[in-house]
Amino acid sequence: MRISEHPYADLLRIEMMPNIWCSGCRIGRVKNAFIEAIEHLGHDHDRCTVVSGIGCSSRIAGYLRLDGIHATHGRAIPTALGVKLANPKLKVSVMGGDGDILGIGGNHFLALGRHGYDINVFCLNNFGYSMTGFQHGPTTPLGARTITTSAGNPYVPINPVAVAMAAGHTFVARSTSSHPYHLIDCMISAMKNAGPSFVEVLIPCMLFERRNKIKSLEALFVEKAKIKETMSVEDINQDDFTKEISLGVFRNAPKREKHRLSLVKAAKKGTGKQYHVDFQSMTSGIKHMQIRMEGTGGQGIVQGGKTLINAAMNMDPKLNSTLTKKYGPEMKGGSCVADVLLSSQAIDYPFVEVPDLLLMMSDLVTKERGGEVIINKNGTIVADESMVDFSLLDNFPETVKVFKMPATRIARENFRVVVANNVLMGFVCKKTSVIDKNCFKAAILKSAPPGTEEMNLAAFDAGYEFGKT
Amino acid sequence: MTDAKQRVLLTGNDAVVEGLCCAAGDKRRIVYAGYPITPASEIATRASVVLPKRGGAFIQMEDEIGSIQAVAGAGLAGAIAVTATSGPGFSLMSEGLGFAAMVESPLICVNVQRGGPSTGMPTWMGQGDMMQARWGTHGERPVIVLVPNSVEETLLLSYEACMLSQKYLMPVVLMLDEIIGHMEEPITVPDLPPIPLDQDVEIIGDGHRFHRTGLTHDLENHLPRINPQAEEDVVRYLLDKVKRDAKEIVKYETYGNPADAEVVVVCYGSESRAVKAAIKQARKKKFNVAMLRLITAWPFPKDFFRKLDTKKRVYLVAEVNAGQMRIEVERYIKKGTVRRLNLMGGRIHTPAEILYALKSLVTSH
Repeated sequence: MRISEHPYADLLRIEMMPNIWCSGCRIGRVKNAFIEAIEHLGHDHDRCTVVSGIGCSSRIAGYLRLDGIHATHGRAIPTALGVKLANPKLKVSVMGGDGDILGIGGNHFLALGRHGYDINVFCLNNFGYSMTGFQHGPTTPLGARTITTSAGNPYVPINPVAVAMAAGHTFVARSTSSHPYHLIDCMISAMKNAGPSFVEVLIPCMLFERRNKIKSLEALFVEKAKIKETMSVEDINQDDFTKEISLGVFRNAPKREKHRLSLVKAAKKGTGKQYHVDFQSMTSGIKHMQIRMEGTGGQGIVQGGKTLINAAMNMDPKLNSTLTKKYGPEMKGGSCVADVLLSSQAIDYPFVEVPDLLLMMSDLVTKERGGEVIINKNGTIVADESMVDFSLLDNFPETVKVFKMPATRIARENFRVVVANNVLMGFVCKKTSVIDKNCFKAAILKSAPPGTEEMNLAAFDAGYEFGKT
Repeated sequence: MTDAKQRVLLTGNDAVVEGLCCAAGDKRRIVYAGYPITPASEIATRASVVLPKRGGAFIQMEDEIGSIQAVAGAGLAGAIAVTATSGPGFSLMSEGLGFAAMVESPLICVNVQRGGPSTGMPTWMGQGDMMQARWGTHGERPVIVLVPNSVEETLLLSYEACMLSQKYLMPVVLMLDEIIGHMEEPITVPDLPPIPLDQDVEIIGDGHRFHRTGLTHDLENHLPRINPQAEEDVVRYLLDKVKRDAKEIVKYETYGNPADAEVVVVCYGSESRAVKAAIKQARKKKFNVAMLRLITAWPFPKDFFRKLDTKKRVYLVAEVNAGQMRIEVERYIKKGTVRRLNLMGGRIHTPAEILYALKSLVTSH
């Protein structure tokens, strides 16, 4: 029979034959079993995709005339996931060796179980890295000789089935290349399962046999394997394949059952009161204004900057503006600066050089700078009474307006300390009258977390009232 | 500023997603796969909200290697595939970018640069990845790197990155930095035409049953073919994609007239904003200076530099690294003088600092 008359010629890349596998290698049987499984299920060949990594078994993708990607070492699973996300209708399978899937790609294998996408992972376990001459891998038996463990492998191998069970794969099975019909059954069931499926396929490798003076691994598999209908914990925990190999399905769950944590409350829907503030846009007359808000991380400095820029945009939508922030990696405690520039011209340099308006929620930034407060000679400083050392604010010309106000205290006594920034905003709004009150309030509403709108607005009003005195 | 009413406040990171949505229109599927990292996390946050609503897919992967591979796979299956990261993640993505170039997967990789090396300064800016973006893969691959300097340009370049990646079937890197990524500016979301899927391009699932391999392959059927001639064919073919069209791809902005100026300040990214402010001030003082801002860092506008090269002109390369793009400027400036102005990261120069440097270089005032 000519090779083009092969019953599966449509599914094989004839031009790639003969294959690269050693004589006596059984990877070809797994490839054939995969074809049988696809034919049995009647899948549209144009809708089947095989993704593989690097290694002997990863070459399967190249011999199948299906859409295939021969990806980088260990990355078959994420590449397959990308294909699945781009087109969920595709049947996506991953072919790989033990080193590829459980070694270098172990993290992706674990994550697939958690993500739960319908991808079938067929892991051809030959107990080492064969393509490169047989180095030890994650499944190499304890004591086995490889070219990197010539005195015997000192590392305890992992158990692929147990790892797959723990990672949450919804279908987990084991078969061997010496049990082709069983293997086809496993593959069919795996592909029927709607979640992440994992089939470990034991295959004999000549290099392993030769180096460890094993006569025939295939004979060993045939002799020691037991196909079982139901699996026990002992079957999962088998660690010596020279004594017994349990073949069969360890888990076949339609989907992963897991209880939601009761402490996570479902989001409330549409119960919150709707708030709305009307404001009027106008021409602001601002030519160029530099506003700096500084303080300690956790005081809502960045939020304050957002309120300022949003309020300015509410008032004059034609205004150009930028908001930049500087802060450390910690959520709380480090110095924090928000720079807002408002200008009728295009803004080039997006940071405040000399502030026209300086809002000091704390003196941390100034102290880190060495105590120097930079301010425009006609500028305004608003400082939190309890957080700023006033000796820093002594030596200014009379044209600089300095206001001290207890934003943090007002917030703590009447609301919560987190809204101190809005108390300050209310005060600033009243004292500077650069930006309209309602524009400010609409800006606060925009960024206030649901349920806190009223408190934030009340904090603003409290600051505004304080500014009247 | 077309219609003042439509202006919205966005950060650079938000603008990346908006640009992609413009590119996708109603029909294309966007797949975002990424791993959280400061200062790029906001891109993922916005993508996780926006994409599922538009029929796209968002997934938070287990690491950056998985992320780049997932988008490479998604690109081959016809999606607009995007991932975003910062320095440490970008290092991990190096191999994946080479893979995507080799299998000709169109994808967009956003790198919001921060201070490095290693963990460096997560919340402070840097520009130290410019050469990594060019050379950070083993072997040679075509490279397109776009560097915006404002929120609006980030949106436009994110759209452009999508267009270029689809046109040349290769990864395109969008290099922001922490300042641009986190900065808020009001912009008008433009009305850009959706980028359709090229019907001539084979994708997974369309019946072509193609094979894509990272091995050196036959350009006809993409099956492995490993010999010196095949390597010659493949690598030349890949590199030529960008080399051939470099003139069309290259973009830069000039301020003032570089062909006439005594000093030309070369810059890119957020640093260019300080440079522009300084040049404006300098020109008020009658300094004959100009700015040249790279919008495509790679391919580099070498023809423009060659044309600009005259004996007396000084080129000041202002950047936030130890002088990476200066190396490239020096390759094409043979007659003039190349000087540098560097910061190691964390902030950009102030206009005053740049002005100070210009004063020492300008002789005509």
